[in-house]
Amino acid sequence: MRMLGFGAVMGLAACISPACQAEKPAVLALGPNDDLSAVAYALSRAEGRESLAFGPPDPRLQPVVTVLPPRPTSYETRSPALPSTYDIVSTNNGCILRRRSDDFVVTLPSSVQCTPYKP
Amino acid sequence: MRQSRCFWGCLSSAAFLALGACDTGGSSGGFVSFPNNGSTGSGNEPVWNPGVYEPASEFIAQCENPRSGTDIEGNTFPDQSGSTTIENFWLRSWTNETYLWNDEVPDLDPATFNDRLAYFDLLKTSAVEPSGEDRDDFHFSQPTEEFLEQRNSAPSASYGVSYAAIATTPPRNFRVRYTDPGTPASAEVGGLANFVRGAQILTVDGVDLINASSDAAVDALNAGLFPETAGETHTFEVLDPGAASSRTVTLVSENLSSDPVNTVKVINTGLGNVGYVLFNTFSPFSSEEEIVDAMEQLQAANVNDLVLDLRYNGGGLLAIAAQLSYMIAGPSFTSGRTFENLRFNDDAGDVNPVTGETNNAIPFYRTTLGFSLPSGNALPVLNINRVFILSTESTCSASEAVINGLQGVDFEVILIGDVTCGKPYGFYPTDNCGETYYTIQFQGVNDKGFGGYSDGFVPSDNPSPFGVITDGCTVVDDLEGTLGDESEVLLAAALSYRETGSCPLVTTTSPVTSQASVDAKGPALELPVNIPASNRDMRMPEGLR
Repeated sequence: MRMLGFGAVMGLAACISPACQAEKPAVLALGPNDDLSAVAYALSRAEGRESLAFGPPDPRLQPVVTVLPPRPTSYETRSPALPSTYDIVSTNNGCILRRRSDDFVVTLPSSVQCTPYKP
Repeated sequence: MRQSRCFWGCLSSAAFLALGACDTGGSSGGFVSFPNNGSTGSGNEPVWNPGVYEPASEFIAQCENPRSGTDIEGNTFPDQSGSTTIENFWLRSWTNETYLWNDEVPDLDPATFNDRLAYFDLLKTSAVEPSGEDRDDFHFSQPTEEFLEQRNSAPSASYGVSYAAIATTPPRNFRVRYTDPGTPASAEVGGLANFVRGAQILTVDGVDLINASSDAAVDALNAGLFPETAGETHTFEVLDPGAASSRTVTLVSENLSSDPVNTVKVINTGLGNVGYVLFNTFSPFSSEEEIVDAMEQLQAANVNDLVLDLRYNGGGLLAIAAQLSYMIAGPSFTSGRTFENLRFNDDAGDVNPVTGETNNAIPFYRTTLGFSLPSGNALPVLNINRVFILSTESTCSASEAVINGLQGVDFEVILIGDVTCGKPYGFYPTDNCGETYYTIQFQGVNDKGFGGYSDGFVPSDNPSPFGVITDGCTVVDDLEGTLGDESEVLLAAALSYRETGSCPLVTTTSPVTSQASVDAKGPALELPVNIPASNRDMRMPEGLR
């Protein structure tokens, strides 16, 4: 199921709505031994593939989740592949991930908590 | 040698979610309803209507031998029961939708071929370049299981050496192209590296590499040159360059990943500092971090020229080629300009016909992208006005994109070495029914709209009548001298050209031409000029098997 980009629908870029004003950059509240399985589960639909690998930075420390593309094989000598970068955002209703390239929004399950990002 | 980066490991959500099958445009158990212009014949097979192409989605995943379950990445196979004819119809329509030269492909009745690979082989242009080379040299396929194994392979057993296969049939000639730092191959014993660049391998575990011909002997050579597991011990007799006698080297394999940036060096000259970078692959995600680190070092050293050694770089990720080009040329040359546009077939318009997305240009990326460094950080820039690029016929694809991208913004490129491989093309590997197909789908063109270098970039003093003439000097890579050493023949030529503005007279006692490279890591046989079907043998050139 594809969700419409919040930016397009709600004018979030201007950030004038109450919902927008409630949005804040966030980091994932995971313990050092927690993995990203639940996040991978949510993102697998957005990315259209089951197996995901994450790139830097550490989303417990920075408000970003990076999904790496499939690794190019030795035959793919001219690969246009790019990582997908998602901003982690806390809202009144929980945590979301918003893909920078197209504002596509992934709602994280309630089991995944996030906390406001403090630079 | 670094391990490939996979932050927090590679996770599969397959255990949590089993997605439904992809939209095949069909129905299970029966056959799809075809568009008006298609009709079904007996047995629910589609009927060929010359010049009329139904959407490939009508035929996808309807297989003669459908798979069941999930692949190694956890994706559910979308296959339904179908036939070879339907698979051929998919190939025909997919080719018509995505192949770069789709108007040069013969329209052949899919029902008359009972072998999908034989049919696929014909779905390409037969045009010939002025040089006499086939326009399409890159048309092949491989089993999807094999493709996925390669894509998901962990660091594999290796010594950290890249071989040059100069002669693959008796009398064979295998030599050391380079070694990666910090590996068994480069480790020193008694003050001498185990494998020295240019050394000829005479025997492997006592088997004569030059002349052996029995199957058992060839198996033994393969086993020693390309260890399957870490911890294997093998013994080599090698003849170092200039040595009168051979020596014996014993190596123990380790699980290693390829090292993108092999060497970074600052060369002090009377005309200022020169940076040297040996960059061997754009493929691993770690190449982003390694090339940025290298450029930061050279920026800090205030280099006023750069020698970029791409002689063994067969390409990889275009985005990292774009980042590198930005770090070389800087904002004054690249601001508002395009690194590369992907040119698809004429029917595609502004859409990428493979992804269905808008076909956006690849910019000169100014920031990190998240491959191995957090995205969004400004890249370093060298304050230079030209770049010397060292090249051979192994300089290919994304490496050539660097040359073309820089020339597209009028940044001076001086080519030292040999004619590059000539691959301005790319593809998206695509699975259908267990076979992954590679067909040329786009041509990379620079900011000026140029991408016609299928005969390679040619140093300006080279007599070749074909290829794109580029300022520079033809110098044969003789496999001697440490890469990065100022006396190594290609680097020496670049430094000489920098001082005099002309090509040096270069002699070589052991010219090396038409090398095939064989990286001794896992199943990697690189033949970057052409990837023929025989290259499916991933371990050794045919002549050595």
